[in-house]
Amino acid sequence: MRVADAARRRLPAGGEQVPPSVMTDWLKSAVALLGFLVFIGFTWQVLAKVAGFDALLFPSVPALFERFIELAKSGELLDETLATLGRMALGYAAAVVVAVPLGLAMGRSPLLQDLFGPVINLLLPIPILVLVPLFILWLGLTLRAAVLLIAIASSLPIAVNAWSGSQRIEPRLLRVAQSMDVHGLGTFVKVVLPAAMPSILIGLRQGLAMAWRAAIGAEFFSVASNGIGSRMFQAKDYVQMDVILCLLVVIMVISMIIDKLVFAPLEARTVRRWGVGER
Amino acid sequence: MKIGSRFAFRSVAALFVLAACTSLAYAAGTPIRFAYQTSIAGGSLMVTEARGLWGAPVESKGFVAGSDVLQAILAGSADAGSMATTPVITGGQSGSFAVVAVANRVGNTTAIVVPPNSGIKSVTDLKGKSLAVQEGTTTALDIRNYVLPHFHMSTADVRLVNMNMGDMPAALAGGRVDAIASVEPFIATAVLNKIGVRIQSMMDFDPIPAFIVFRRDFVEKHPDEVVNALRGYYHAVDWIKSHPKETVDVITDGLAKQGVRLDRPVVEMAWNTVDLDTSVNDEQMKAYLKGAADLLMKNGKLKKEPEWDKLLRFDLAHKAMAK
Amino acid sequence: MKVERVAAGARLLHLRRLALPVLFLVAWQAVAESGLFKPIFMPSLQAIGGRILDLVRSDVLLPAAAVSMGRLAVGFSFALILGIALGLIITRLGFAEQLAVRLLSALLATPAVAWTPLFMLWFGLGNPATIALIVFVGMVPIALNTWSGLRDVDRIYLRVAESMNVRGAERFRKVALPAAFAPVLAGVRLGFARSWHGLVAGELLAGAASGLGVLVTKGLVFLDTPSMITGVITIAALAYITERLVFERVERHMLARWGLLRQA
Repeated sequence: MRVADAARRRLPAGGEQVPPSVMTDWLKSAVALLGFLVFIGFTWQVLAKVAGFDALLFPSVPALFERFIELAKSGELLDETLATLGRMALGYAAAVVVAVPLGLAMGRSPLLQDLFGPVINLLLPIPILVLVPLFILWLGLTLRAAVLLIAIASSLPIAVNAWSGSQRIEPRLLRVAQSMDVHGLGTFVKVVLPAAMPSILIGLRQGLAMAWRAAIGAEFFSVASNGIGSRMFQAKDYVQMDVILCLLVVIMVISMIIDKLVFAPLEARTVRRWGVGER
Repeated sequence: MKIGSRFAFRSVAALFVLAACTSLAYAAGTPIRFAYQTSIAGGSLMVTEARGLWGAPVESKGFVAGSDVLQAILAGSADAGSMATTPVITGGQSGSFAVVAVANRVGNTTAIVVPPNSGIKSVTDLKGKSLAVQEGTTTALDIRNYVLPHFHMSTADVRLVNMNMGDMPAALAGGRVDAIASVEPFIATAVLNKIGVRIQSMMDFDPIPAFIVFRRDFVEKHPDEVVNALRGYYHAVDWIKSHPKETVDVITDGLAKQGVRLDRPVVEMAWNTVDLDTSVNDEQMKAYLKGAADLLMKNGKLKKEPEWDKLLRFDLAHKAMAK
Repeated sequence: MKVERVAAGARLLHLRRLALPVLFLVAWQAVAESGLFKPIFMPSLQAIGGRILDLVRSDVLLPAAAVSMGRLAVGFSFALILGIALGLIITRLGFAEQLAVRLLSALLATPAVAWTPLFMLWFGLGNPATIALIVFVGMVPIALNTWSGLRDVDRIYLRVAESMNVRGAERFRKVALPAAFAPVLAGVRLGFARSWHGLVAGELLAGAASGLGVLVTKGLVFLDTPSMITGVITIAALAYITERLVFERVERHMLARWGLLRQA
């Protein structure tokens, strides 16, 4: 995406150690976000006083701080966040284990491509939320259902990218491998996997974002009885706007971490080390 | 800023015209946007509308639970509606609305329901099992603070699962939860479809008044319209008491208009659980609501008590009843 | 892929592509008929098909679809206008530009669903919350990509324009805007996908009273599984059609026409 390109242009050109820049980049984003929130907070306070906004729907900044500290102190914040992240990790892990090999295999096997390709391409543009009621119907409101939903949702982008990556391998790489007497599984592990790595990483990144999205979405449907999403939905039922806003900020921060911090260093190291990156 | 005299004259004239038009509009009877509870408590309000007794043009929309009605009123998309204890208190923290009357008492409309052959005969049998409740409702409040303690249990013994009232029958049928704390007409749906039986009504613990509320700015601008509307409501209640069969028909139609298509027997069974007592004793009611507020604060769902004097406007109900 | 192989196996390829879906349907029908589960869970394919026809004939499905798509159209139009406007404004913000971009990136990373409870309380259940959701989540990628597209307009184009004495607003209209078109279109496509998420989230969670989401929620509530499945299928189909068939074609057509088609 163009935005990512523009952002990447700020990184050192022939870069050896990329991670520090990524970190400061992320930190700048976090500071910007928090700064903006504080700014909004103050404007809001002023507006609330002047325009007489409902204190219930527009809590004051001190009230929000108070609530945030309360949630943090009572351990609620940590517990709920970990619950959601845990579910997400389980589903994501399952997706990676299944979708990466599948995608890679699809790229090299017309049979697998024909079998799974249509289904994957069909499901890809569909918002995952629409499938949640079906899952609720069949699997109920259990951890199993949530994890399966997350797994299926995140496996799609992973498989698609692994597939495209493995499809586009330069034939000469494969010929070289053949000439060095590497066959079958060996080819797979030593040639296909590293060559497709940039695409795989893109897929893993998209998959993680997808898993996070599915995890929160599932919680809104009460597929799980705890978690940051459930807590936020419950807060809505009690018109606890301060809780909703605190949790929203936490969700935003985690989303940013997932988006920027998790894969960038990994990408930099593996792609660079194996010398297959295009940039 | 310099203002020319001609400009000033014209603006004043325009303002006069505007004021005149607005007051004319008010005189014509401002339409009231009602939010009805389709969880059967709104039934009597629907009858009032059907018989044209609100005394003003009405636009209505259906919402399942009182907490949904609350959200509509807070967001300003409804001027009035009915809601029970918990939403009144939760929303009462904001200055948005005033409680003007008691519509009916719905303690018996909400109950714990279990599958027919589950072997669960009373609440004690729920130990170690899961129970669906909708957070934000009075049912949830009662389960936590009255029902479970009465049977010497707590949320450590029974796992509460947050679910919309409407989703509960399906969940019960599918075995996703062991029991549900739902509300009519969903209970009647479950019972008549033979997928559930009542084992504990909330009525034994809490009469649960369903209150009629109006947005505070509406009450301040049109107190007479509110009294008029309440008067009409009490007439409707009289009619309901003397025309039970027709009432069920009207409510069935009313619900269908709100997109809730139910068979008549379901509506009949559901409606029969509503207690049409509209009496209000100011002292008792305030004490009742204060007690509920304390419980909500104990459960960590409420930060501070609403300002009771500003929230409770039962004087309007008394005015309407005085005829 | 070897050309001979493609030619020879053409028919085989087509059949194989249908294998999994067909298998799925066959397995479904088998399970439904076996009586292993109550019909509430696995309605037979006839029941589902019958219900689809039923809902179309009784004038329920198509109006519902129209309502949902209408919401999407209205919301997305606003998202488009606001997004492009916002993107434009950001390019002129000077020191606040970086701040705004980082903020929008944060918003973009946040799942669309997460905004649902907030909007439900602020705007009210039903249409207000749903449309607000569609507008908000859709406009963020559009704004970001508009900004990035305008930023990245190759300096060369701009210099050439200047040398031909085309400046200011005219240069903007005739050079910058078309050059920025490709990334903006990518942003619009992403925005559209996000708006879909907003629509589904709003209809399924925010208490809509009409539309396809209602079919799903009411179906789940009143144990009417064929209707629920009809709702799910219709939503999924519409999402697929609008995303793949409409957007992809539009994008390719416009890019080819303006000679901006670059190697993907």
